[in-house]
Amino acid sequence: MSEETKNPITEKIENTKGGHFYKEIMKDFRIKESLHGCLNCGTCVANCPAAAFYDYSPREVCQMMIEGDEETIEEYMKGKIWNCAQCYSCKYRCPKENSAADIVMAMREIAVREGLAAEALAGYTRIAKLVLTRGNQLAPDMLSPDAFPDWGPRMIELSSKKMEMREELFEGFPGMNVVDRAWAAEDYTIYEMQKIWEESGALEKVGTVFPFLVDIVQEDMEDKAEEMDAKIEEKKAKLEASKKK
Amino acid sequence: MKTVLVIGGGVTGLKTASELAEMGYNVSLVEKEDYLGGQVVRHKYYKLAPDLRLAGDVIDPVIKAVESNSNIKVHKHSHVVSVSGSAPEFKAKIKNSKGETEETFGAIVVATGFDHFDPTVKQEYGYGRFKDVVTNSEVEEMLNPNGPTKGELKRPSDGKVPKKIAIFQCVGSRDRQVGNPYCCRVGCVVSTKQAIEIKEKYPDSEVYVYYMDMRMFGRGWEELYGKAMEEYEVIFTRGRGAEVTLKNQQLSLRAEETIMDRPIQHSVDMIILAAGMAAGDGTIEAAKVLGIKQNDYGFLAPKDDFLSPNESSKSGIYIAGADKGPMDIENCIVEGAAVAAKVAGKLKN
Repeated sequence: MSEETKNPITEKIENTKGGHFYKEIMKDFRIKESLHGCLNCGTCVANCPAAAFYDYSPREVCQMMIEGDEETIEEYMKGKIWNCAQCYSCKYRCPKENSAADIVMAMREIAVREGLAAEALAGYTRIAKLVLTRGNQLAPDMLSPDAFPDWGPRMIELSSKKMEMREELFEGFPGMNVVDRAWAAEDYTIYEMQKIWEESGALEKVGTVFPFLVDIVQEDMEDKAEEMDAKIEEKKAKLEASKKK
Repeated sequence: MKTVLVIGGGVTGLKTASELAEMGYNVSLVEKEDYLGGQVVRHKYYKLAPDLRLAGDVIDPVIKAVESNSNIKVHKHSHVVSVSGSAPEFKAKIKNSKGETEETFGAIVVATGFDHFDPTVKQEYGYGRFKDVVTNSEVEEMLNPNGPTKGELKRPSDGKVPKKIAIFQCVGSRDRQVGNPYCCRVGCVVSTKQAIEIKEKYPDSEVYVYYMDMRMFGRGWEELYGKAMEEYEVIFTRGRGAEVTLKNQQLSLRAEETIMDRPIQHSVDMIILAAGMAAGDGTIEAAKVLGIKQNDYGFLAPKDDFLSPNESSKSGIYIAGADKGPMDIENCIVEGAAVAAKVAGKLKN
């Protein structure tokens, strides 16, 4: 018997699970290795950092995909799946070797593709902008205790003192002790990165969630590309000239 | 009259040997340790479920029946190192510290049993790292008046009697991560029994059992489970123990209360791991020496699970007891008697 016919989950697609989103998720190559039935033991939830602080349960994700109810799945794709931190603790602890994290990853991609993600991700516009323009996910000043219920007392203390600490560390900290990125990438690195966003289709995908943002970023990218292309040409010419000599 | 070689001096092997000897066959019983009784004696099992009768009341007569029967030659501290020939004439080399002897046998019965699963590999439980995380077989030794703590349940770290005790079910069982997806078949009832014993001895203690399913299929098991809840107020939480950490010198466990849908943290004084059954070293060794088939988990595979449950993949070599898979003592004794009848019938022809 082949592996495919042995898996009861694969069989159920045609038989009882009729919904569009359900079918799309089950088609994903990761699902077969991520769901082997579920003991409902709760090991995943107990180990899940997201479950400890947010409305999210990896066990529910597995159960939901086993049941295949379209409405529940749609609701999840619009909301709860975005609370997973993608740490994969569930995968490495599950006694059935399920991976809610992989299921969530597949669901997120499909949610973006199918236009279900915009509302859940609206709060992430600044993060998306920073990723697209500077290659950083977060800048230290974007972090505040309100947004991170999982911070411990030490982190909250450090965060409250950051301005004073910066002053002490660097005399004359640029820009009134405010930082707009976690680390600085070189212009050429950003240019390369943005080329990858474009060529790989990632930019287009991000555009389905943050259309206005992508318009702005694209304009910025075009300007930068012109500048960088000119610089590259200049360098090439110099190289040629030095060869001729 | 032909002689039978029985490998393994645990419950099953002892029962097989004494049954065959009573029917007039000669038996050579080979045991790798210097005592008889297998895991029951090794880990000083104290009381047996579901009746809470002393394990000694069961194992002692079985041992005595072997030691007092002149048809049985017991080779302690011995190994079967090689076997040649085929049914109905095997030549087996038995080795001990004094040397090697070769004997001829009409049939071979393998009753090499199991080993308690070693929970060290489940690193998230901290066994071996945290002193007060112990296994269920260690608890048996503690509860036994002849054991290291003279019958007292004591925390290995400070020798104090723990007040809050958590028991984790399915350690090394029903777990693909460690390669044992099967059920150990005894953990549920043994933990329930131990919980009752602890509550009986220390009525002020709190015992929490973290489980996925309570599989109470044996004689009187379900009733024992009911008794644990009703009479002894043992608390059963439906959620698998997931992780153990040390917080301010106290053990802290994480699990999900799956019925309440919420992750929990629980500070306790001692954690007992209900470690399951794995194929024993002796079983793996016997399979290699005899060239008989094992299943995916190292246990011995019967020729046909339904129709010839005690025959190995090789004619003339028989298997019985917990070397075939997890099995309780009651059923091991049945297996021992069954394989003896099978062998006797075969040798008679």
